[in-house]
Amino acid sequence: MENLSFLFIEDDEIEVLKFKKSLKKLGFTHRILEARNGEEALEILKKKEELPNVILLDLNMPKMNGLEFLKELKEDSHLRYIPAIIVTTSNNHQDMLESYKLGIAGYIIKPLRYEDYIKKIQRVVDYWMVNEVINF
Amino acid sequence: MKDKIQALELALQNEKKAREKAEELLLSRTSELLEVREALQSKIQEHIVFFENILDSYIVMDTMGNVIKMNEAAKKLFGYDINKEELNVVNIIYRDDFEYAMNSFAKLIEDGFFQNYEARIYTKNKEVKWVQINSSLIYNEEGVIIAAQGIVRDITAAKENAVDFEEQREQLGAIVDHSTFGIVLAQNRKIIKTNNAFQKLMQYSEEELLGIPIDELSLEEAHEESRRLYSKMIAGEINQYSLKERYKRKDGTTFISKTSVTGVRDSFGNIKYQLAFIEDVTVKHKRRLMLNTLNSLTRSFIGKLTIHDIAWEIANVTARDLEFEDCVVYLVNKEENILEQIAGYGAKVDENKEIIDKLYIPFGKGIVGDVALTGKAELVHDTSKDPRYVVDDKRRYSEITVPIIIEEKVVGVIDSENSAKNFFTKEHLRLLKNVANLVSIQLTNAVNLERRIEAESQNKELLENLKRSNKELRDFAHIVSHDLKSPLRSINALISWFQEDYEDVLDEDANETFDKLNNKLEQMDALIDGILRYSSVSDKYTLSQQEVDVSEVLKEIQTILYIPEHIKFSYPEKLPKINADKTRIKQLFQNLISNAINYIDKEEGKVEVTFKELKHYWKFSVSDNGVGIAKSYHDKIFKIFETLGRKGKSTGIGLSIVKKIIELYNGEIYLESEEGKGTTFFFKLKK
Repeated sequence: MENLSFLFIEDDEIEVLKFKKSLKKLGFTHRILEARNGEEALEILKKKEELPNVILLDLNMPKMNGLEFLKELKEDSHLRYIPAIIVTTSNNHQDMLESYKLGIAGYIIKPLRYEDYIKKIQRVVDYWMVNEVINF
Repeated sequence: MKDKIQALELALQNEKKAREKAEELLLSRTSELLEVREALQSKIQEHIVFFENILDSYIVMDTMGNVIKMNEAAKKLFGYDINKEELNVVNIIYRDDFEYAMNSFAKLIEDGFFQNYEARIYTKNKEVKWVQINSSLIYNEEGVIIAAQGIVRDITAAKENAVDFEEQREQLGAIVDHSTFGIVLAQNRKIIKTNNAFQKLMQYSEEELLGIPIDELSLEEAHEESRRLYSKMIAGEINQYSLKERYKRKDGTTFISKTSVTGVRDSFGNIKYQLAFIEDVTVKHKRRLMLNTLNSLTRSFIGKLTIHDIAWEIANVTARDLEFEDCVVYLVNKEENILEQIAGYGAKVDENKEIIDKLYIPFGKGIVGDVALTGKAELVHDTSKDPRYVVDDKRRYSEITVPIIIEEKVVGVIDSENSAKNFFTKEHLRLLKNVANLVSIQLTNAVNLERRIEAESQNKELLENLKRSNKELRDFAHIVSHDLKSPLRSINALISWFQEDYEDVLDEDANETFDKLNNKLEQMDALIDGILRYSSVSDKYTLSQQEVDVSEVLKEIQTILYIPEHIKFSYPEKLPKINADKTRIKQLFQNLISNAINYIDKEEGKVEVTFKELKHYWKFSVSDNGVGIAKSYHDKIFKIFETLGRKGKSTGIGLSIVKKIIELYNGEIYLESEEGKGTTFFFKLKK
């Protein structure tokens, strides 16, 4: 099975650690690109040296938040086709609605328990592994 | 809030006062109108008495042609008697003359009169007669046509029989002497006979009037018109005319008259005599003038909100319409205890509409200053006998002074002086009082309007603030959702990693402590979720209006909630469909039902939903046979974060969400409970 590459956009260090540890624990060897906020993520993407297969992002971040990032992403004729999935603690109806309006590939709510989190991440990764993804 | 209520109450009071004043005013105006109408009625009566005594047929018909009055001569001529049968003139017009008759009628409506209409009619016994008709319209006070009157002359007979003028004159003499109209018979416009009424009007004796040219008795102003009409009559173009003119009495005073002149022709058709009816319409004229003044002032006040604008209307309209020499409006200046002129008929103003050389009157000085103090209107017939009068540039002999009163305080004074003694009448006083009342009403309304506008802008501001704080609250909830929940997730992950890393070192006690720690995290997470749910209950973004099937909602709850085997959950088969937001209704029932389930301590539990339809509400109840709630807690439980049971299992948010949802639908909630036996929550939702 081919390896996927994820761009994980998250400002919380522990969350980044959680994601990495989860993948490791699950035995995945997918490549992870990291960005601390939307602005950083866009910089990485605009370089176009290495484009991820899937973007995972938080909503509340400093500088450029998740929704602002999504708006910019969807305005780029090239980058807009990369599936973006929200990973957040907010089950706010407004956030959800806005995100789907902008065009997301999924909306994952972070569960409280770490073990539940691992289970959710496993399903997400499994899902994208059975998908055909665009390799830029 | 309190201020606002006070302001609104004050406005209401003012409005009430203003209304009472308006009613008062309306009443007095109505009675004035009635008087005028009565006067008119009596004049019509006089007309009729007069015409009923003349030899010619006289009829009055309504606008549809129905004859409503006819004298004996008319009855004889037509053969109909309207006391016995209905008569419509349209029905008796000779067929060939129909079109001509209709045209003449149209002309009557247009011009107000027609003369020398000649046509044939059918009498009751189908005789055809030639008639000559002179007709005019009768209007009511509003100028609406109410009827037409006409003198109908049988010219068939006139052709055959020579009229014995001497005999007629004798009969006329009797009528003439008893008439309340002034009647003058003139030859070549020189008086040859007058009646008593005319002599009384003019203050001259019959002898004094004999031989006097008619024009000498009236003022110059209408002479030209009079001569023009007279020559038309001489030329045979008209037989009768009427005009308004002013007569001069022996003592030099004048009166306004409505004069009707009819030509009496000899057998050759030449004018032999002029017969004039003179009616003193001074009183009627003045009354109408005052009514008009009041009406035009009322109209001009509309939309004027400051006393300055209104004052100018008063000064100009009153002086112009009532023929006052002047009219000044003063405004009370409380601080300096003076009256300041703010408007004056004919006063010069600068570009800011400020009067140049305006008048200032100290309180208590002169008649104006006195009225400002007493608040009582004054009518001074002779200022030389009034010690209060202060001579300005020259003495004016009569004065009328009326205060403008708002909320029992004099705010202004309307004043007019006249060089003649006894110029102002009680009617003038009444009129100016009415005007002052009008001003008071208008200004009170204006003040109320200002207050209302202010209150509205305050409301608007309040609403803006509310909107802002609502938005802030939403943002706050948003931040709470992320910033408080994220650390909990981190702590949980860190504990797990710690446990994994030190698996070998940690004993059971340590692991138990970590489990407790994790439990607390879960509680905290639930609490945050609860707050978020609570804050989003009335969030308009997510609120929808749809038909919610309550049985469907309960069915769904049954699948979501964990209901232990020993608890029997039941609800009626027939439940309503209500118009609301489904999520909220679900939240409402779910919270109540899960509460009920949680607090059941019996071996056989029972949770029951019931329903009843009321006139304006849907009434539901959720009852359980659980631990029950002590009376002292019945109010407390609806407050946020209040919990009675085992801490940790409940967050104390559920019932406050319930209450908020019910309030959202204008309903209410209460409970009945007995400790140890169970609790029933009743709630009503507005249909």
